[in-house]
Amino acid sequence: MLLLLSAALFALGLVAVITRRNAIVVLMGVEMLFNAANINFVGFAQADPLHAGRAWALVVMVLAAAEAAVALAIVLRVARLRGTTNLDLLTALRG
Amino acid sequence: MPYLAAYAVLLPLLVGALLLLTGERLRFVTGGLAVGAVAGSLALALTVFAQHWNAAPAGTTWAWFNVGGQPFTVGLWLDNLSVALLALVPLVAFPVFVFAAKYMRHEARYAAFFGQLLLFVAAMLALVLARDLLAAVVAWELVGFASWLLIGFWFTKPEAATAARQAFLLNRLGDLGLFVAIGALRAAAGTLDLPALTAAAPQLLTSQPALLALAGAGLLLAAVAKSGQWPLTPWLPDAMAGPTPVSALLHAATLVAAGAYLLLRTYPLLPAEVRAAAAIIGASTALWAALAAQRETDLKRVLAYSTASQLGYVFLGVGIGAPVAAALHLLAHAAFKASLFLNAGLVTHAVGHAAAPDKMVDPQDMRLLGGLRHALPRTFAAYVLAAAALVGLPLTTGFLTKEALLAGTLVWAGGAGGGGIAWLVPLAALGTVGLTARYMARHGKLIFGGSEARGVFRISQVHEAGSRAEAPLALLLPVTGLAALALWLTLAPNPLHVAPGWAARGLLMPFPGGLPEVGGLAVWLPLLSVALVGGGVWWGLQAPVPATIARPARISLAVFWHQRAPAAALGLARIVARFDHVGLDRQVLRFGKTVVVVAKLTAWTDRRVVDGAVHRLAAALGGLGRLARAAQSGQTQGYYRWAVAALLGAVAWVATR
Repeated sequence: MLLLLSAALFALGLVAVITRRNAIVVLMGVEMLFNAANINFVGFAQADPLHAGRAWALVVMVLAAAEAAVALAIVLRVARLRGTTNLDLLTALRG
Repeated sequence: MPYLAAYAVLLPLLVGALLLLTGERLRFVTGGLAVGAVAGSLALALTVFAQHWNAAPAGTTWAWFNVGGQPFTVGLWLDNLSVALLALVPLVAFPVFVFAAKYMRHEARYAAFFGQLLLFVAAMLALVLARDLLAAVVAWELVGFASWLLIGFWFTKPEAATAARQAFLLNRLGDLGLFVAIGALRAAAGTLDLPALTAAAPQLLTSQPALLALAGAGLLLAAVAKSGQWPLTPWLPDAMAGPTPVSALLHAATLVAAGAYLLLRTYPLLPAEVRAAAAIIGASTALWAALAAQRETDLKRVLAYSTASQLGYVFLGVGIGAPVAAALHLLAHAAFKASLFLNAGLVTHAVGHAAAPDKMVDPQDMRLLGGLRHALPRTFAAYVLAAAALVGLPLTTGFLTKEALLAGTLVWAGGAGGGGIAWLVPLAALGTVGLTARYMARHGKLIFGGSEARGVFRISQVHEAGSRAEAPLALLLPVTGLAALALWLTLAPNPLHVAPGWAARGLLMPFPGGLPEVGGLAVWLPLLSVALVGGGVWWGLQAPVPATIARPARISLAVFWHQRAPAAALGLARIVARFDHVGLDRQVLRFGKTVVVVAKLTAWTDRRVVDGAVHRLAAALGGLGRLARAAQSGQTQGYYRWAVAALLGAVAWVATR
């Protein structure tokens, strides 16, 4: 049951990340991907006598918070600098 | 201390190089520098002379280079012959330099003149000291080069430029002989070391007669060219277009002596046929040049013919087996002829000043001179002394050396076994004595004798007006000093016989038996020659003043060298050119075409095969690069797509295991 929830959340996040143009919405999709992983950690922790997966879920949350802070700061600067958060227009990293 | 002699060469060489390299910047110290260098060289040479005269021959050798495992060396050789000339060259050069320092002071290229003159002195000393023919040929060429520079010193005058070229070309002809001789001697003996060659000479003359004959002929040709002997004489009178100090140093004392010195140096190596040829060339040059001098009207050209004539005596002496007499005559001639040339310089200097308003008149034309003995008494006195030595009056060096040579010719003709023809040589030698006396008497009479009314240049008028006609002491002293060397005491205490003198005894060391003497006291020979001289002088004093001002027609020998010889040489050149075109150029062209074809093939291979491989590799790598670049689109979501694709791939891989 939990695995199904996790898979659904992952698919929704993936769709958001790949199809949306707005950087902030893409970041929200990324948060959904993290949480899909967290649900997996918690769900599989049931079968583990030490419940180590729960601790990893906490680590992932901390990482996600840090990631969100850095990413939102970058998006804020890009929006200030370029006047847009449309990812199709932000191609300066082309190789 | 043989090294001291090397310094005597280096000193003038370095000072000369300094003067030549600094342009005219050192002009104001040039005279002092040049005279000082020659004085230093003279002091060194006299020290060497004092140490090595009558000492055992000494020398040094330095390795120069190796060719095919064969060592070539250079070195110094000091025996009585070379130290005598080592002393003589700066001894004559020193007065000439003192004279020139004053005489040439108005020249624009004063420092260059002395630089060239010092270069010449250094080359000449190097030639005298050379131990082997390899060093000798280097010095020989330098001497020729310096003489070309000096004869053509006034190269803006066409006759000087022509004379320099002519002298150079005729000398090059002789150089060919020297090269041939060097090759032949090297082939015959395997060495070019002169002492070694001389020591091996008797054995070589029997074991390698053909090569030695070739070498002897080459050496004779070289000597003939350098000393202005028949038939290569014409460059010598024409070289009088150079400055007077040059004529005195080069064309009286040293340059022309180089040829005779070469023959003396290699005397033991000369086969009998070459010696006979030298005797015939010497005798005929002596006679022919004395005849040519009879009608000459140029003050200096008479002396030039006289030089050729006297060097003919030297060649004659070498040819008849009297090398000591020849060497003595060479030494004596150098001193008195240099004095006579400088004397000619004094005369032209004096009349040139007197004739300043009228530049069109040639001050060397004897027909315009006359009566100068009143205006230039000291010049005249020095002239008489030097001229007496030249004609061979008793109490002079010229008398001593000519007696020795004449005695040698008589002994040779008596013992040669050539029958009556051999007596032509002493006859020519004796005839030349009379002819020498005649042209010198005429020379002196036209310049100094007669009434002054005849002369165009009225020196006495200048003289009486208060200015001094006689040259300053700096010019007069060198002339007088050189003339004083013409006194018999220079060579021997006995005024009638040279053999007991120090010079003859010393020179017998390198040339044992080189001074043949007529049996008995032979009183008649000096008497005969004095009678000949007296007759010649009397005849010369009768000589009329040439009336016409036109130049005498060129003598046939000069015509030969100026017209026939160039035409023949051009014809030969045309034949050679034809051979060159047909025989050589065609082969060269064929070879060239082959090379071009091969080159084209190589270029094609290079472009198609080598370059092609490199290009293809580069294109493949570029394609890979483009493929990798495509992933880096800069589209943020593109990266996500790649990540998802990779994830799906990983899942599929895990699932299918």
